Amino acid sequence: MASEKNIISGNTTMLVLKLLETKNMYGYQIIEELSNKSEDVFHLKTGTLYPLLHGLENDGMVNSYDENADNQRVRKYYQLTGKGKGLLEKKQLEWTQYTKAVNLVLEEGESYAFA
Amino acid sequence: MRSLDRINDYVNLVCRQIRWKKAHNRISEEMLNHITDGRDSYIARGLDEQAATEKAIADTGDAMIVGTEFDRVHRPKPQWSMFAWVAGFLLLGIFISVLVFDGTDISRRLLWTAIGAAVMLGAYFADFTLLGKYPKRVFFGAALTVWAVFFFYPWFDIGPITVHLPRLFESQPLHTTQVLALILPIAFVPVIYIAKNKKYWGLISSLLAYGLLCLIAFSAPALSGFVHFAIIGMVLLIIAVLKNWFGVNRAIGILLVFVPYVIILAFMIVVYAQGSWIATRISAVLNPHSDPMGFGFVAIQVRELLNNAVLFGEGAAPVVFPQAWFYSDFILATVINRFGWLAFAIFMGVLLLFMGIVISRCTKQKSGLGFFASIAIALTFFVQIFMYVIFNLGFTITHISLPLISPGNFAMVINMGLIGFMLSVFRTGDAFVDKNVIPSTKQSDIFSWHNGKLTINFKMKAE
Repeated sequence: MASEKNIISGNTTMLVLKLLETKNMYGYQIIEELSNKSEDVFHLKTGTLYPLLHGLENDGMVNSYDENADNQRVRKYYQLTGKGKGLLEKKQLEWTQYTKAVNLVLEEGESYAFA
Repeated sequence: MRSLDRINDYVNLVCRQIRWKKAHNRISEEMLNHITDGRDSYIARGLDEQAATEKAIADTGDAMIVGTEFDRVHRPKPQWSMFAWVAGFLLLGIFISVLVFDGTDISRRLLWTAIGAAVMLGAYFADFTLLGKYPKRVFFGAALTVWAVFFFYPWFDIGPITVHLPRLFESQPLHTTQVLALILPIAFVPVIYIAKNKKYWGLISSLLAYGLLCLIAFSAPALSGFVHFAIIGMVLLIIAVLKNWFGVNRAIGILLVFVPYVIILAFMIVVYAQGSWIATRISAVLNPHSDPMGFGFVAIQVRELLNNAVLFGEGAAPVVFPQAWFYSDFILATVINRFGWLAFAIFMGVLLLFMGIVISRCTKQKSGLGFFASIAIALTFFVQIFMYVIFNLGFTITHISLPLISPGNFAMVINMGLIGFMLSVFRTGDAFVDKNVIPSTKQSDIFSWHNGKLTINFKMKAE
């Protein structure tokens, strides 16, 4: 599990952008959604998420807006921009190429193992 | 320790790692909300408040590491490219001065450029949120200052004593005082800002402020300041209505913005059109030959200069005016005649590119205050440029200056100061959200208006 979590740290941007592609979310909601969708494999720390979101916002990948929450607090929601969608597609392509390459090596390794 | 105190301590420790203090408000608010959400979630799952708080904080991460990550992301944005543009335009102005006008007044120009650069640098590091924190002081302070200069110029009497304003105001009276109108658009921004979501009362109060500033601008020795602000103020109001800033119906809002403008225009036409100098001037602009020895004289000379220009290269130059006059008021017409229409087209292309870049940066501002402040200054330049270009194409209505390029000592300083302030918005605007900038209310006021509530303070201390 530890090694899989190292992989996710390099692709956190892609996962966050993917979640925002489905709907606008606030920070706590992103963490909850990621945990639920990954069946509790990925637990993103708050201190990792927010600097990431702010960095993405500075680069124009996401926008933020405020909305009043039920408990009278103001929540900052994040939404994906067109530029962010482009980055997400690029990241997904890189991930596909990466996993394909890994699978090729693993399949090769299996064939050698049983040779 | 109370849960909220514990969370605040944690958030404060995070913020202590972030060197750019202006970003603290935004980050601390978001972190506070998030950790509180986490705490409430754990409480809902059965934990007591203290344990839930510690777990929510643990989920956030080590405060030093989190703060360091924020520090990497949140930095002011140096505006080197914009400074390069400014330097380019300044050098172009000096180049034209040397090449076309034989270095007329070059030492004086360099001196005022240096003063302007110092003012620009000071404004670059200024805190633009002061517009939102002290809106009434900014608005009335600027309006009163401009009115006082226009009204009392060039001297005023205090009883038996006549006070002459310093040489600064006496040397080039008309141009010096009228350029003060350039600060009226930025002075108008706080009024629009505090009218956010105040429905029709917000729009009407903004319109009243607009009318007041128009009246002040109209009292200037020249018409240019009034025309300049009247255009910009209306554009700012239209933008505010279209952005739903006031929270009113857009169609009705636009109508309300235009109605007083039309009334004022109709009033001017009806009251002043009969034999007035304004009517004569407008006629001369449309048909210079209707007043060839009066207002039409300048337009005729400029149009003849342009008619003799060629596509590329030097045209015939029937220069009638003293060079000094052309040097400040007809730089573009002279350049067209000297280098051809192609040079003018290239210049306009470069200007349009610059305008596009500036507008793009204005629209990227996250806060309403940042947006309106930067767009007001951007419009201050673009309307000046537009008026100067029209003036130099023979439609000699009125103009102030060609910012950064035409000589104009006080105009140079004011324009460069405004640029610096706009760059300050571009540099630090990301750190602000509108609700972080709350107008300051004096404790000693008997009456105070805040968040839609009127408060009467009977416990006001005597000062």
